[in-house]
Amino acid sequence: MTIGALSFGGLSALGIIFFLLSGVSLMECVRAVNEKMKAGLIAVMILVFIISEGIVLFLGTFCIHIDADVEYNNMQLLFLKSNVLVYIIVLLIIAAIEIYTWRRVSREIRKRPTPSSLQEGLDQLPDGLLLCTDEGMPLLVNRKMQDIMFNIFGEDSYGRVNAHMINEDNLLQRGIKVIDNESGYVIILGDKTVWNIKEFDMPSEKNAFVFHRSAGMKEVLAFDVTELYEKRKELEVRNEHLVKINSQIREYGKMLDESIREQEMLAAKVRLHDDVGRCLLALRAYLSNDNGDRKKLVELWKTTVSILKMESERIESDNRMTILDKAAAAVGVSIIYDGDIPKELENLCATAIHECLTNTVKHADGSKLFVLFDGDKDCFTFEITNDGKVPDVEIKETGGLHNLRRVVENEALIMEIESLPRFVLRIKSGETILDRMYT
Amino acid sequence: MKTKVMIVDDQSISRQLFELYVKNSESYELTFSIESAGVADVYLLRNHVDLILMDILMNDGSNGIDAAARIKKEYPEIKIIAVTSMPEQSFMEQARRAGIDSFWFKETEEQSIIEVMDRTMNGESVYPDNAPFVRLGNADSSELTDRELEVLRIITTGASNTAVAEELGISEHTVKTHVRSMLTKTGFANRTELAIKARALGVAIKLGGEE
Repeated sequence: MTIGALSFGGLSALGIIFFLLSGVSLMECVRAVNEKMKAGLIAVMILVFIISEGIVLFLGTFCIHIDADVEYNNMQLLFLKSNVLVYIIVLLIIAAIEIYTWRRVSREIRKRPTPSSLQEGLDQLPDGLLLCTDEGMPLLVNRKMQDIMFNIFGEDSYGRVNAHMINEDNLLQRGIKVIDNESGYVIILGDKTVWNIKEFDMPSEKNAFVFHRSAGMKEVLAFDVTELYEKRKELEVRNEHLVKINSQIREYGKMLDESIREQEMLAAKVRLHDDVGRCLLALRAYLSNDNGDRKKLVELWKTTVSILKMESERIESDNRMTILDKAAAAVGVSIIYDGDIPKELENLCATAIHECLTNTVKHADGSKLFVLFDGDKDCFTFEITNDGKVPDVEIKETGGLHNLRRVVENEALIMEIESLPRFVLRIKSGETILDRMYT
Repeated sequence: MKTKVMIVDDQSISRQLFELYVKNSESYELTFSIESAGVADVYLLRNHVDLILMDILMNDGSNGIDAAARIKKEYPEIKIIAVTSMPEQSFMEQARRAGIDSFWFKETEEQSIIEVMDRTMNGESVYPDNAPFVRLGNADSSELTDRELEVLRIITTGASNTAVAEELGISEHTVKTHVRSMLTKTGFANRTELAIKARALGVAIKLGGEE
């Protein structure tokens, strides 16, 4: 074999190696890079390939002509003058660059998840995940979500999952209970686990997925909220219990006041009877030994008898209206009633009467208060007016009247005040008799 | 000239006892004896009174402290003595703030009501050093801090921890801490028992505002 043939063979082998390396690099790079870089990379690699093949072919031709007696063209003459080692080194450098690039790209590619590694990772998640198009065509579903959807809809719903289908009772499996559908869906499955399923829109500009060019996508997530749900139920039961207890405490408080009064009355009676006992002992000592001050003893008995007389004259408590009547009488004012005030409105009306009574004495120097009640506890008009001096200016609501208005309006009632030609305070319900007739 | 006295107490027996003391005294004259603090100010519109014996807790929802504050605003010259059998510590503080001249616990033997009346009319302000101490479970009522008593007062109305926190402007966590502390001090099993006992003994009473 001639040197030329050997050289040609060697260079051809190099060329083949370069070809293979370029091809592998190209495939790897094309797999790894995104669309924008693909064209550039491919172009570079093809260029490198062409240059390297060109050099190899030319060198090969040169080698062949070493032995043959042929005319060289200008280009060949140029290469003839140059050192072939340089070209070999250039090719080796190109090869080294390609190997380096290939290794780096391969490392990058190995780090990146593949579709199957992605699927495997998602399947390990404890929560459900589904990516689908706007029309409901699934793009990515993890195992948990498949299980959940199967539990809910009872068949392979892979092809047509839409979270809003949960609203359709006829599509749900028996035993599935939808608790809440306000912010997402909270569902109890047949195995008593509780899931919160939420759907999110993913607009296309934020869509990082390359395997589907849909205009829009949806992401459906399912979270296991079983523990949270159980704790919430427990909390609700406890809160109900607490509300009940608090209500009982309030009721107890009301009864307690009466009970405490009874206890105090009993304590007072016990003291009184102790006093009677002491009187009897003092009397006995006086009668048997003529021991003691007679005058003081008489005084003591007088006091004790007065107390005992008091005890026998039990006084019943008056209701609030009677108390007001007595107070009015004590200041020379009689309250004249027209109509019966329902028990439910007694406190409110008594407050209003008290205020008007004060003003009648202070400002009008009156002696009569006229109280009119018309209607019932739900639909009524309540009016108070008085005799005496009439106001000479419009009455300003300050102090007591201002407080009364606050109380009235808190009860969702209406308060009106007329100053001229005479003072009238009017409280009425929002609903009138006419309203009632037409409802 | 005798001092004109008005008695305000919802319990007939207490009222009658006070009436007896006043009638048996040479210095005092009874003008009115009424059962509601809510109308005490009405009596003063056309009647002269020098001294009022004012019970604090009334069964009609009114309370003597609010009534006394109103009376003092209109008639600062009238002397008022607050009387109560409840050992609620805050009543004295509230009475002072309302301008009440003197304070007397019904159950104490230290001074008679007549002595307190005499001293008050002489210009003194007679207040006990402390409210009577009451045993609340394993603790004395004096062992509870002011804040704890504030919390307890609201709890006795049946309010939840959230409502207590809102009213006092503190966190719910702080309310629970105070409740836990009180339960530890008193040895009561739970919040409900604490509230009931405190209310029954008169250690913590929340006065309702008058309408």
